[in-house]
Amino acid sequence: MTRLVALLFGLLLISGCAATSGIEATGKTTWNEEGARELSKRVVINNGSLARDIEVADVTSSQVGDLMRAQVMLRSRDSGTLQFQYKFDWYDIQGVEVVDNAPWQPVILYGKEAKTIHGLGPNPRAREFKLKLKGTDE
Amino acid sequence: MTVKITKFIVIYAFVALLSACASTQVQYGDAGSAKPLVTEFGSSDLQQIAGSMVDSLLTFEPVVELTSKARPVLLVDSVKNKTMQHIDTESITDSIRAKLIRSGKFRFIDRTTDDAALEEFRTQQESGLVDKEKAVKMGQQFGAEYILTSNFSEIRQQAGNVTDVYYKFTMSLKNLKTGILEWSDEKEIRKVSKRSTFGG
Repeated sequence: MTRLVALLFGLLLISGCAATSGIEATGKTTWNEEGARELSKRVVINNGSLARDIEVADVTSSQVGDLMRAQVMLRSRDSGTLQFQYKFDWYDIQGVEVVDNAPWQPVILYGKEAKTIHGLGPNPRAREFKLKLKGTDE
Repeated sequence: MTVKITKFIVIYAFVALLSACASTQVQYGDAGSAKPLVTEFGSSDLQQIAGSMVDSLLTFEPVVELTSKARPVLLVDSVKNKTMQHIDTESITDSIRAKLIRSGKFRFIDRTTDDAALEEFRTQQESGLVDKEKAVKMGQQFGAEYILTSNFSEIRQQAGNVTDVYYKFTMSLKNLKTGILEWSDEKEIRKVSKRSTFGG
């Protein structure tokens, strides 16, 4: 009987424990005194559970015509298969969001695999990006 | 006494579990969420296809060069749906067109609204309501320079409890003057569904 009670409470706990988790990586294009393009990078980790499994290995950007292209290398620290979603948000030079309505994209990382994901600025105004990662169940 | 308390806890836990299953909750969801529910074509698949096609077209070097000098005029052809599903394929091309317009790189012609445009032309020319000087003159519209064509196909496999669906969306940009395919790309999506014996 006691085992049954423990099992039932276990089930209740599991059904109510879907924690949210996320990682953010940002890149901003600036120009130095010589006029050369520079990318400032920042990685924001909101929650440790996804950050434990995924490492943001590299953040770079390039110009395709007048559009900014973001490239982020993600590396799995886990030996199993990881499934999660990513999305790029875009901002102009003043930090105002450039609305893209881009959807979350699913991505699969196999054990210890490194994968590069890309994003393209919706229009020439986009000069800064933020990569957001979250689990598949959210 | 202890048995009574334990029984009470068991009943309470059952009631809590059952009530959690029976409740109906309505809430707004994320329109861009990539959480798949079924193997059938869904909103996330549509958005993934549109995003992938637009990114590929805008980063293709000859297209970058083409759009750096002018904003070419495009026409989007309807999608050839070769899947077994009834899909609103116009919705896919609408999303692709909206994203391309937002990029500011292309201009579009929409033949689906020509009937309404013709009706307005007739009103302006024949009804006598509109000043002839201010009426829009017919025969001055732009013709499309390029046409975007697309195919959509699926391969469905089923073995026991597992359903595996592979979708392929192919899109091409054809130069109407020369007939040359200037760009083409495809987006593949694979969805796997496993029906579990318990709790499914």
